[in-house]
Amino acid sequence: MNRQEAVKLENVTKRFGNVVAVNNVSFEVYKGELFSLLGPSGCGKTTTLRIISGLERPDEGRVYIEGTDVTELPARERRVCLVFQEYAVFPHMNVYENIEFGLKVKMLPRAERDKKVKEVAELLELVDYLNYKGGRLGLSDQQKVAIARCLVVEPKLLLLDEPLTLVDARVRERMRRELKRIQRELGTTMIYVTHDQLEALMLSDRMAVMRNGKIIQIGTPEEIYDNPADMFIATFVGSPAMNFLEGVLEVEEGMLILKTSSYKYVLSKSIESSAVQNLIGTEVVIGFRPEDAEVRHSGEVEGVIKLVEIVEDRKILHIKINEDEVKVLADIFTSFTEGQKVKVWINPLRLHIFEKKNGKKLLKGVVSR
Amino acid sequence: MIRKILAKVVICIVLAVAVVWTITPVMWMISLSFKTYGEWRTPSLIPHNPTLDNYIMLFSPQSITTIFIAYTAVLEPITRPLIRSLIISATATVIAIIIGFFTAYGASRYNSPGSFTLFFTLLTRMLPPAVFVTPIVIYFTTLALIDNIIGLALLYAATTLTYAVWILKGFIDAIPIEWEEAALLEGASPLQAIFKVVIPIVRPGMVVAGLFIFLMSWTELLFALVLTNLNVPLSVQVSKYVTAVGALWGVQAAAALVSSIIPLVIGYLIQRHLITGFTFGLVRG
Repeated sequence: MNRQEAVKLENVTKRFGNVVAVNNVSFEVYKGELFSLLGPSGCGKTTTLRIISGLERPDEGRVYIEGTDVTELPARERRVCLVFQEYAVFPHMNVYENIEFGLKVKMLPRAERDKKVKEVAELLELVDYLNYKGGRLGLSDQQKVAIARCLVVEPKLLLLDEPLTLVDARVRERMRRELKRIQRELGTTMIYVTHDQLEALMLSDRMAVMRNGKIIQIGTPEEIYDNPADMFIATFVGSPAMNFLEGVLEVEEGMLILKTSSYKYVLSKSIESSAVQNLIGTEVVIGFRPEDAEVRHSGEVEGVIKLVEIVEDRKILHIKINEDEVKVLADIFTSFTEGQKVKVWINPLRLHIFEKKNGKKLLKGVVSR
Repeated sequence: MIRKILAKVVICIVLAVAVVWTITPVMWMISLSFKTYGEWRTPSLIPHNPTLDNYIMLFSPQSITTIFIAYTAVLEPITRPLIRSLIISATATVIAIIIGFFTAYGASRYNSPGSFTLFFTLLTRMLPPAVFVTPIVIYFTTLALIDNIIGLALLYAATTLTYAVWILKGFIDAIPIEWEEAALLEGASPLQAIFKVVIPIVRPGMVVAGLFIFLMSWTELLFALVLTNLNVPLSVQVSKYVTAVGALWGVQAAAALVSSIIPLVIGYLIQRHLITGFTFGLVRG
């Protein structure tokens, strides 16, 4: 991939009164990349986006677009476009005039405007709607018009602020695919803000997870999913969410054991990694994803199935192990019933060990052969 | 069932009373304007000998040789005050709407000049206008604006400005800032964003506020009476037909009718905008 920098943020901080909305954020996005900012609402992701667009000025730090410092540049000179969550389309203009707007204020000749508008309309399949008034369109078509309006001015950067949140679920999925297609076709650099982890995982080339104004992890969707930096990300990304068991790591008869307040769980038959050894005696939280555990006839720890949920093509078993409850995925054809006693096996290679006091990741996978 | 019918009957009666209450004076005015001098004081709605004398008196008082001859010296043709009033009201409306829009925009988007000051501007409308007469006369004398229609236009613009600001602020508040931001990001300057996005959307609001201000300027009597001498606007002219010598009721009725036609015509021409203006907040839900 072409690793030319499209945007770089350097120690950007933005305060609103006493609230620090964006706290010392630095990251870069490469050309042609679809980069997501993921986080719960109020985490500063929209503010970060608005700082990149120039609608908001950072209190500290610098913003670079294609290597040029644009921190002091007003929004309209940055050649950056933003698609908002709602109110995307000018209601007093029809679709054609909406798309034409950016070209008209730049006073491009009429023929050129017409050509560009039609090209973009074709790309976004809006040709049939060109005469519709902006306010008459459905939300998903409005967002398409908003995207078209941005694309027609050929921005260096396309920013999207939760553009699909208000679109209904069925259409949302189609729009996501379409967005990805357009991004691939045009090679536009996009920064996509969302609170929907699934959306971020599906769309992004790389993504950043934000919380309380800070970026806590940057990586590819696989990295974020497989190797979350802390318990927050582990909970936030992935559905159903990761299971957690609290306890102390101990060694008994050469086996690595998680000792909770009421039971012991053998994590691994042998301890080969010295990294694990260093953790012995510490209070930890172990985490594992529902797909990284199995229900077996013979396993390490016993539990009772409390609930069987069918979600799409699989079953989610809610299993109570003493006081803890964990979710384990099972094939849809399996016949588990509520109240059944089962044994749970967790894949030791895919265990995440977090420090109890601050939730930071200590280790992934305890080796066992 | 009976209750429903009863309710309908009551509503009809109330509406009928309201209609009669509003329409009767207008009917009386129309009738009076076509009556001859001798008939002015007779209580009949239909004129017995319909005449256009009153209107002739209105438009060319010099050509009258009848009973009205005693008055013609003091009266000028109504076309002149009519044109003056049009100039005054239109100028006041345009000034108030332009300044009002930008003030409202600042108030809505930048909270300038602050909500207290903005509220304070309404204070001028809370006191009886007579309170301001003396200071205004002194100002106008100092500025040599007495008997000057532009002076009146400025005064009306100033006194109605606060309405323009408050009405337009409501409209601008209802426009999501995202529309302007989108325009900025697509390369528009802040002024272009205002002229191409905000103004077209608030246009119905401008029409409503404009009509309101136009009507207030059109009908204003107190200041017009005090501040003009020869260059009187229509409202003053209408009052002039009741003189020390005697009252020309029929001519005054005709003048009042002419005076109400202009606002009616304007209202008719802009009715499409008026409906959008009055229902602006509702449509967006």
